Amino acid sequence: MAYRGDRTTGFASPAADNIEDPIDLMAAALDLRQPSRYPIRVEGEALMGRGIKHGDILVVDSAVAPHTGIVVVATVGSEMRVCKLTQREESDG
Amino acid sequence: MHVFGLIDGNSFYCSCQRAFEPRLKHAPVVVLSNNDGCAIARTHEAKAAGIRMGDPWHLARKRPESAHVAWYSSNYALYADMSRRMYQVLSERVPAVEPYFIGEMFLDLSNPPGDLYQRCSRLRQDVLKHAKIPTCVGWGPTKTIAKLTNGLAKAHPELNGLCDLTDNAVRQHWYARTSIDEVWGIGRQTTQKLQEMGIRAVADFVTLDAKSVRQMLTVVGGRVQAELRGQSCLPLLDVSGQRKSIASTRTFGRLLTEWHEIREAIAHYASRAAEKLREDNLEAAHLSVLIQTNPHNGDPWYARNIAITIEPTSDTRDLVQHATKLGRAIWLSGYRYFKAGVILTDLRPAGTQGLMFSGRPPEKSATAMLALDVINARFGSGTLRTASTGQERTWSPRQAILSPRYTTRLEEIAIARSW
Repeated sequence: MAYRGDRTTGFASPAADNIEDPIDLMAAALDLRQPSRYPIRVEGEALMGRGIKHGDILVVDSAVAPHTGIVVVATVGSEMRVCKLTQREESDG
Repeated sequence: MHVFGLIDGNSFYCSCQRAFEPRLKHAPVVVLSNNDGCAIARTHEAKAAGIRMGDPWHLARKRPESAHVAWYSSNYALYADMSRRMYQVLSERVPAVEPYFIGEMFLDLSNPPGDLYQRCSRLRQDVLKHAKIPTCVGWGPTKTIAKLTNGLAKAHPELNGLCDLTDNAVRQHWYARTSIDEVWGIGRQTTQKLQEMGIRAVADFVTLDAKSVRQMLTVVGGRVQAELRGQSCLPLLDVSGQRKSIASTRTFGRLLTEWHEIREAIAHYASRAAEKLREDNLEAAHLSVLIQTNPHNGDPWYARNIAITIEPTSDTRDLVQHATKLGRAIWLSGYRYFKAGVILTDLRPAGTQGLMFSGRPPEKSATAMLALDVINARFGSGTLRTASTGQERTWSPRQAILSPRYTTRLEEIAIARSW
């Protein structure tokens, strides 16, 4: 049994009722068992500015609502592309 | 009131292929059976191009209408993972889900009460968005009605993939227009029997006297009728129960004549079956082996099946030894063999019975098998295997047009270009 700040031998730990698990980045961001998460390998250096390099593996979550500025995997023509989502101004003419 | 739903992936295998290849979006897609034999899943574009269920690939591919068809070997690793995703999306939204088939699941929609049309529409959207599978949903007061309803949703595009048969009047409308052979549980023979009596539509069948239906079609047929009338007889089943048998049966990549080749295949199937046993922490006490010639190519028919009771084991080496010994007893020279299989039954939890005659100490066996499984999990199935499963393995099924296993192998994940 690992010590989590709760069971002390001398004085009772005042934190015993407030034990929380450390952040699980695996579950929060990477866990591919989530039904909406898919791994994608990046080809090309165009998103270097966002820290995305050639050969990187992205965890794509299809449940996330798209919004301007995020990096998405999109179908362009008949190909899958990794790109930044921008919105074109509606022209009113 | 009870409400059962059935959600079914549209040409499920093809939809799995489409999920990772945008160019297939509007293309005719066909998935072939094991060994690239014949068409087993078709998109509606492929159906429109004249591809029929069971069409042999070597003939269908040469037809001019097939010029634009995208053909795929069946990629079961991919389909299983996509099915798992579908199940998970549904399980997070519906109190009980029964995976009836790989892309087809029964749902318990009884609670909470509310607008089922909206709810099922939402389920469809979520499965599409998360698990990438387009589906149809049908629902009604029994499983049999849900299944029939799903078929209607599939067959009638104007229903937009959703069909509700909870209302009796609506049911009667469809029953009059639906042929009896569309009903789940009514097979070809029963259909014939009923047609001889002049019963063609579901409506004719449900109005028959219940007692005479039971007399004619046994209790099973009686249950189908009761379910169609709206009395629920079949509950949602739980899959978490222990499996009753493990089968590893395949057609060979080519016809085999020599015993040493068939022995390799049988050893391989026994190894796969042993792995499945250990995955579930089970042992088998009964093993059977079958071999057969091709029933369709005009060869003389030869099919044999042999079984023995064994000391409960999940050790690959024991099972391979038993299986090859049995295979040898039924193999005769002079035939061209098409298929073989190993089937394990009388399964029990590992280590529940003390062994009386075993030459192998159970602890040593368990350690060796653990090492085998760990190595194969890390470096790929079959990395470490018994020598009896062969080197060249020319009997392996043909999978000439297999797509990557996009979600289960890191080296095969989809690629997207950035620019």
